[in-house]
Amino acid sequence: MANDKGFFNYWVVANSGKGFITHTDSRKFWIQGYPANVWVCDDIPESRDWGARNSAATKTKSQAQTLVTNAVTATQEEWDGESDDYKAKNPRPATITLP
Amino acid sequence: MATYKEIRGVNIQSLDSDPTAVEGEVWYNASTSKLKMHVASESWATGGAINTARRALRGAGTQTAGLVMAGATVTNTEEYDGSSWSEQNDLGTARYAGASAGIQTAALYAGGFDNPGACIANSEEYDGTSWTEGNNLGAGRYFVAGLGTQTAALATGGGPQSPRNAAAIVESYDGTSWTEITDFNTTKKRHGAAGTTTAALIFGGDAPGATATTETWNGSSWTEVNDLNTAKHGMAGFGTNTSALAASGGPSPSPPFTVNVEKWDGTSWTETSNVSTARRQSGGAGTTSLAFMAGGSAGPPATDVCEEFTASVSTETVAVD
Repeated sequence: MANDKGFFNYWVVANSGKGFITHTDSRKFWIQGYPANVWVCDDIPESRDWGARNSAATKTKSQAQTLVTNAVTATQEEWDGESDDYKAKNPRPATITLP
Repeated sequence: MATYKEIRGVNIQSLDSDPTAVEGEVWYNASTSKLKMHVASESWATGGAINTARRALRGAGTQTAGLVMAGATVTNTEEYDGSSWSEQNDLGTARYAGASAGIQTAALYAGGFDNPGACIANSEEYDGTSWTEGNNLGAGRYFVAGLGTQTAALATGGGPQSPRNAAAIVESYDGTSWTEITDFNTTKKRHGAAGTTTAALIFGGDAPGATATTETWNGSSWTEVNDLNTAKHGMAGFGTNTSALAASGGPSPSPPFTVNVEKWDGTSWTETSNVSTARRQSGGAGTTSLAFMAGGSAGPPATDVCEEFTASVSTETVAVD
């Protein structure tokens, strides 16, 4: 679970598969993926090592939020073009606010 | 401050070597002069990505000998060795959201939905190399959840063709044919299922609307038990009826989905380690010690991400100030 102190790292990197996040990583720090390959994790030395190991691009919270919002907006616009039947069964994708 | 003996009823033992792992156990290792304990941990790690990103695929097998099949809307079958996925012979009929059961060398896939949109009743068996058509389900349906083995399986719930809501139908497979058995209590589709034909568990789902209800099966009747903490559907479910996981999914068919994972201990659900990529309709299999979940819909789009769940007990040295 995310820490409650508000200290996070924001990264952009594609999930490369096996070894991208190890059990050791997930036991040491909280990490969660978001649309647009944005990753948010606790800001501790181990998570910075994770970012370096995966050649992740560091972002500010604002930059990361913009990437996520743009991705969600694209899915919302896609939803807007769907049929009424589809919309009745599938709510409009919701906005995501990064921690 | 309470002493160890007051809490546990015994003193800390002095041992010459570390004992067999038992969660929570504390001892003094006289050889190394260290106070030690066994610590249980549960975590998810990234596994090898599947070759074809898709949602509504199904899983079978184990974390080191896994299988995913079908999905929207493909015939693909992939095998996992604990490191990477390899493409195998396709299913005979392209479809998604059917019921799966079994292991990598003896799997079953039944029902589902085809494209452009009809529930189908086809049932196919996999022998580790190829798929063979078997006898059909009695009722074609989609988002049906399977459990068991290739020769003793259940296909639970799901949505019938018309009207497209949820059903409480359960069919049992004996390796040759499907037979309808006792319905469960709450209609559902997009739910999780685990266990065997004589000791099963179904949980969550779309009733319609996300539900947290959980039911157990003892081979003759379904019983309502404690609910999930959070109602959701589209989760990956695996394990037994006394130890199961409900991983990811969401309260609605649209994003955002949840990273939350809940663990069933035979009595109640508790939160355990989260997955890193929230999604719905992934394919998963395994136990509450070793499992995998692969693919699914992270948005859209569909994802190829695979995550592996591992529960272990490690030996840690206790730091004393």
